[in-house]
Amino acid sequence: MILVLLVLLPFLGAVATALVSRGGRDACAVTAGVATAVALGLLGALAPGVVAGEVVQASVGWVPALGLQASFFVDALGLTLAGLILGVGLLVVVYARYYLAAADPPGRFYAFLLLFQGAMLGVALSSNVLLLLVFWELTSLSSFLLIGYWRHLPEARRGARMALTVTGAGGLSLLAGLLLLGHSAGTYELPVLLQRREAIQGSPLYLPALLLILGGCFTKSAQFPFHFWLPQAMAAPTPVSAYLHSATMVKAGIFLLARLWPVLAGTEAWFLIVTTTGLVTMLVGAVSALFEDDLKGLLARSTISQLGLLTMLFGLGTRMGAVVGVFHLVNHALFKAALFMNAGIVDHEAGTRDVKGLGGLGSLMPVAATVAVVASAAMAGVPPLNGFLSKEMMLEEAAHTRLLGQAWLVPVVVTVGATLSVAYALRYVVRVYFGARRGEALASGQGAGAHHDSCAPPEASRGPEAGRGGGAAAPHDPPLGMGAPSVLLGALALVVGLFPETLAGPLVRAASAAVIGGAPPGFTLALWHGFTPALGMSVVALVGGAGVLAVHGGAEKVWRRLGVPDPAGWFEAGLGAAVKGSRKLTLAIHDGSLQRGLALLVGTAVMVGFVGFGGAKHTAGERPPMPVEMLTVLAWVLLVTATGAAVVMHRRRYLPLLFMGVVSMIMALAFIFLSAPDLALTQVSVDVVTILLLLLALNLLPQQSPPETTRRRRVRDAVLALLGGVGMGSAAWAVMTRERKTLADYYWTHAKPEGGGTNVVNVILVDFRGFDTFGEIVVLGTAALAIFALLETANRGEAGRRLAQWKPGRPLSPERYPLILIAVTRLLLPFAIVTALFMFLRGHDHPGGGFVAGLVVAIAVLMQYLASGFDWADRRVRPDHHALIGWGVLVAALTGLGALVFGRPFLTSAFWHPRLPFVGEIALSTAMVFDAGVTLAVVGAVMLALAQLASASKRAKQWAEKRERGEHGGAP
Amino acid sequence: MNLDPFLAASPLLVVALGGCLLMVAEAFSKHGREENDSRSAGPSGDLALGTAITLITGAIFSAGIWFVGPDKLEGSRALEPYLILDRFSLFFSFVLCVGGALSALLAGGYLPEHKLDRGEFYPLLIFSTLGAMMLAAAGDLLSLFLGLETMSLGVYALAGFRRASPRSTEAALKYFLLGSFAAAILLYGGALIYGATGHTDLAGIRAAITSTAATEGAANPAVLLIGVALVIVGLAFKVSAVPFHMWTPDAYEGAPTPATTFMAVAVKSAAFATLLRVLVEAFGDPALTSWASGWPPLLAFMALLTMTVANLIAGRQESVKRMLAYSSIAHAGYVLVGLVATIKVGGDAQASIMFYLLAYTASTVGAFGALILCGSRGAEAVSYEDLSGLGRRHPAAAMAFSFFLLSLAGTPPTAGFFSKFYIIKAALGAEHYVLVVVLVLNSVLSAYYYLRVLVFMYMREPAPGAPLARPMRSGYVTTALVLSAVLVLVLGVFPSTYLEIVAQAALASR
Repeated sequence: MILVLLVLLPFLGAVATALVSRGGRDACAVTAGVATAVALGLLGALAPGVVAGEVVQASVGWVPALGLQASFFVDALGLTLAGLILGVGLLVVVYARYYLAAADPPGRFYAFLLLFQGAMLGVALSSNVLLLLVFWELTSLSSFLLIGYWRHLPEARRGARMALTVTGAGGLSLLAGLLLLGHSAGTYELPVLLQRREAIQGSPLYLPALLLILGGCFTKSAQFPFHFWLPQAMAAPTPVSAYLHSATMVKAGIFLLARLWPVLAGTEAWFLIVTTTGLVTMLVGAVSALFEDDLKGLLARSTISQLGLLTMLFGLGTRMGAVVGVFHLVNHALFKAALFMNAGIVDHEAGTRDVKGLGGLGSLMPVAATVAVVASAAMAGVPPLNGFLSKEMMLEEAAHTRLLGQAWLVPVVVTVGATLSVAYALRYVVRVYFGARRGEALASGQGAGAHHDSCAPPEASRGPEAGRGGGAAAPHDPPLGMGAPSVLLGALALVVGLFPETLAGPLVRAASAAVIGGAPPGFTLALWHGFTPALGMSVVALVGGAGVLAVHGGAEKVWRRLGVPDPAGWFEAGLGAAVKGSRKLTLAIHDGSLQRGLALLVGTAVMVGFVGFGGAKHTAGERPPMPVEMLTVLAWVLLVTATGAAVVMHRRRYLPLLFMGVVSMIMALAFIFLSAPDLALTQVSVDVVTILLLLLALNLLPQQSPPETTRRRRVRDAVLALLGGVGMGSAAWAVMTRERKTLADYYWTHAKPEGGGTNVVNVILVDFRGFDTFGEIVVLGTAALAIFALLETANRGEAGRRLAQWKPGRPLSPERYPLILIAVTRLLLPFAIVTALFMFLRGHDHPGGGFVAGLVVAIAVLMQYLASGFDWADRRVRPDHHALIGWGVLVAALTGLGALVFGRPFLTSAFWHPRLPFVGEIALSTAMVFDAGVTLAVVGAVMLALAQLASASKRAKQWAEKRERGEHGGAP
Repeated sequence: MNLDPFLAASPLLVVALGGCLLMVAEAFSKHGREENDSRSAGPSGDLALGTAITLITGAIFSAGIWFVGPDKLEGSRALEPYLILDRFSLFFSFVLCVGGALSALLAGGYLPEHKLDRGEFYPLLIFSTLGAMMLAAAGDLLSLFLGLETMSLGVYALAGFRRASPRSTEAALKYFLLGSFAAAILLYGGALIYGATGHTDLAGIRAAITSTAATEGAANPAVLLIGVALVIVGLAFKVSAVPFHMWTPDAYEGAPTPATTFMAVAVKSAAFATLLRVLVEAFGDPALTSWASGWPPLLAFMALLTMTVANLIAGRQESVKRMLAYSSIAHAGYVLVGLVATIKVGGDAQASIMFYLLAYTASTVGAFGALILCGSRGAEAVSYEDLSGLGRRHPAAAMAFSFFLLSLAGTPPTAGFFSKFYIIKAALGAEHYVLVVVLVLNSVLSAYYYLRVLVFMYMREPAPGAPLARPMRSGYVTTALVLSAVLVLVLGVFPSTYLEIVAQAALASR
């Protein structure tokens, strides 16, 4: 449980810090410091056991259903990284207290810092791969917040964004990789997973998993070609750089390489990819560090180079390589954090970080200078410092590695890298602390800016010392709290170098055992190993490095002239291109054109249909078609002609309406011909209602629609329509020529005994499939409501204004309400209602039914409106249309539910057949009540649509009258 | 008297009844609304509350029957095959009711603020939810179509609710026309399937397919395949999968934001529910699920296309609402990946889809709600620029927005992370590695545009002199946001309980 607490502490600390942020820098720093120190103490308590080889585990149930738990474990490798995180973290907390300006919000800084710390601890200690991933992403996120801490600096935002994009993308690649890894290992628990080397390396998923995981590690650890984000991230406050970009976050990738070393390393692919990447990164970083003028940029690039070295070491896949890797990981953290803090101090005191604007600070800042000398020497690999030890071991290891079959390749590259690292380390110390003082040059405004790369702004522009007036006061050693952390780190570098076996030996041994997953090879950490090839290479590097610095001036000119490619720029350009590409895609796919959308929809459906058609057996059935008669041919001709004419004349709005009427009449005839009088009846009445309503609506629209299509589009549409039509036609042909069982027989035999009616269609509608009918009237009601809502549009807003301008498109008949029409419709009304009643009552046994009855009533009423005008009719029609629909649905629903009350399924009907005088036997059933509901709903829906249309035109008329009054009577 | 059937159908009944009552209430509250371009309070507040209560009651009934167990109710099968009232339906009733209720709450704040305060919004919303619930429970192609239309008709009207805006009206009209075409295609497909199998109920279709496959070997009549393809096309339109998505950005942008929320949440969930049921229960026969001649390649192709196209386009949107529209298309793509995985891993993949839809519902409502909160009338937050500096001006709104966007992006510890993870896990189990890799890559892409909002809110200052979006204050919107935030967080931190629930809800693949 200590372990869980340990991981939680930084997060708790982050919350606490945010809470005390009003207390100022001190309160925040103390809170953060205490949280870190306690965590460090807890870790210290675990340390002896872990170094002795014990593995401490703890877990909390998380998502058992997915086999996930929040489990942590600490072995020596985790302990090493966690120790770095907390140890350096504590020093950074102290350092930052003095580094931050009074104006910088301290609460945010420390809260983010602790958030990052917790995330990083999680990465180091997670036992579950997926949990590790969560923390991994959290480090990206919190580093984004930290790099962008100075929000007002555009460079900070840019750097933060780039860091997040690169490492975040890497994190997702890692997610995919780790999922594949866990899948092939069969577990997501690291301790178990690490035992399954054979399963993983034997799996076909090994290579994709490896590539994806390396993608994550390399982006995080700034390996070539993803290294460009690290120099950009130098816009962060220096404590952040010291923490994230030297000791911890960039080490996460290396850590994961080490963590997964037992299961991933040892293959050809691993060796080639990882070693090569490491070597290239080492050179690229070192060379660019030589020519970087910004102090922090220089350190960042040197970090890239050193990370390349670490990657190379783990890439070798040898056990000794892993040992050296672990050792150098620690060493690098110590001296590089010291150097970053040192760079921050220089910036703080001298007001600039530009190497060209600095010099001779050694006499003014003796303590800082000493730290810088020691730490740089460690970086350069000068004995007797820790850097020398690990570099020596690295050279030894490299001396007998063959890459691409060449024995000389690795040693030479490594020696060149070492030489360059000596050169940039020397450059840092010599140019800043020795030589002539060049602070004055800065004061006169020459140094800064002129030589700056695109990255890394001088913090002086609004740095921590903005309040102090820049370089007005002479630079001097920093206050104790700011200096002490780097002194401590420098001293550690020295002491580890002097007494390596005592101080670092046990830890390195235990940690490398954890990496290897077995006993480490025998080795001793010592300064002197005798005259080895490595010693020779070291000497070459030291001498060569000094030489390189001597010719640096000339080399720099050549370098500048070469115009080195800028991957960061490429990245930005790539992002820009992606944005541009997506814009093009948008325009191509989605230009808001309805026709294009429809073409796409229909086209895809046709295509999908044809693909399905092609992939299967497709012969027509054997059922003989019905004989063709003269009458049917005539109907076909009419049908095709009317359809074609409607399409061709679609711009003249009334004509297509007529043709549509023809089409539906032929349909009705076809229904009759095929013995479905019910359908015919419904078809006819629906058609009448639709056409009447459409006429009303068209009355409000222009007579013609403007020509909008191009020839190309018409051709496209024609092709699509033909394809779709032919496709559906042949599918229908295939269906109808097949002998098959239909449901018809079932209904024939069951209609009378179970539904109590002989009109099968009606029985199906109100009984067998009464539920569907019920649904349909709900749909109808909703449709009416939708019509209501949509047509309200026409009455208000933009459309309403346009409607207000409406004038009849052609002369109207002088007789607004023709008398004959009125007389006839009045006469028709009672007849229609009786007809409807008749249809309704006989519906169960003969063609008719509630739906048709409703339509007939609706037609009759519609005719009244047409003949006498809306106002007249509306005054005489009582019921509210909304209510009609509502009652209809309610009645139908209650009938259906009534059956449930009697324990029968929904909508089961009860029926009896009384004899009425004059009418004869009629079928009464509960289904009839249901039918009545249908009727009500139909009438209501039609009337609602009518009312809306009519009110639109009424309003238009009112507007027109108002306008006229306004014109005649002057403006009111 | 046996009340069990009523109980089994009670979520639907409650919602239907509530809708009717609300219509009556709306009719009574009409007084003096005719000339109301003045600043009358409008009916929205009470109606929104009523709608939310109705739908929450529906959700509570769903949950209650869930705990009783629908199989314990004697009459729960009375409505089969039209409506199948199983745990699957109950789960979706719950999700849809919650989505609808939250949308109603958002509307309660949004409509009065933007002078769209007209009562018919709420009945339309309720009946659309009812349609969506029917759709999710439909066990027959006919009732499926009915549910679809009940849902869609209302949504068409909701999409065109901003009547004063020609763009909104145009988008609604386009949506309506395209939707009608899609519905027609679906009907065609259904007709062909009936022709090929002689059944319209899903179980019957399945049985017919199985027996045909057994007698005629694996060969399927082309008619059936075309029918299946057309049905899938019709439903894919509703989930707005590419290339059937063209209506989505316009309609989402044009509709009032609460309606957009409803479309993104309920319409999509219901369509996925029915797609899942149709694919598993009707077309789940091995004869139709092979890669050589079946629907999986169609869906896989659509998934790839949907994820990639939507994310690419979303990245370049200047309007946040449009970006969210494309993001919802992208999420449909992720769910499609889960659908493809159902062939091999059945229950797991189904559960992952359901969990995803639940998480997606909460996150999406939250994101749209936060967007609503970020702007008031006259200064609505539309573009990224409008959000500049919101982190300082209105920290609560900015924080809520960030939270939901992070969930949509799939960042832990939110619901979005687990849902995406679960889908990936199912797809891995089904060995669809290409789909998984593309899904992950697309998540990377999507992080770009989600985080862009955060960058603008926290790291940009508004251009000097630019009109500032003024955050609105509304108890309804805040309530909706708090509810969805709780849901997102709970699903993200304690997913186990919900994973068990969705595992129970999965359809038994026969």
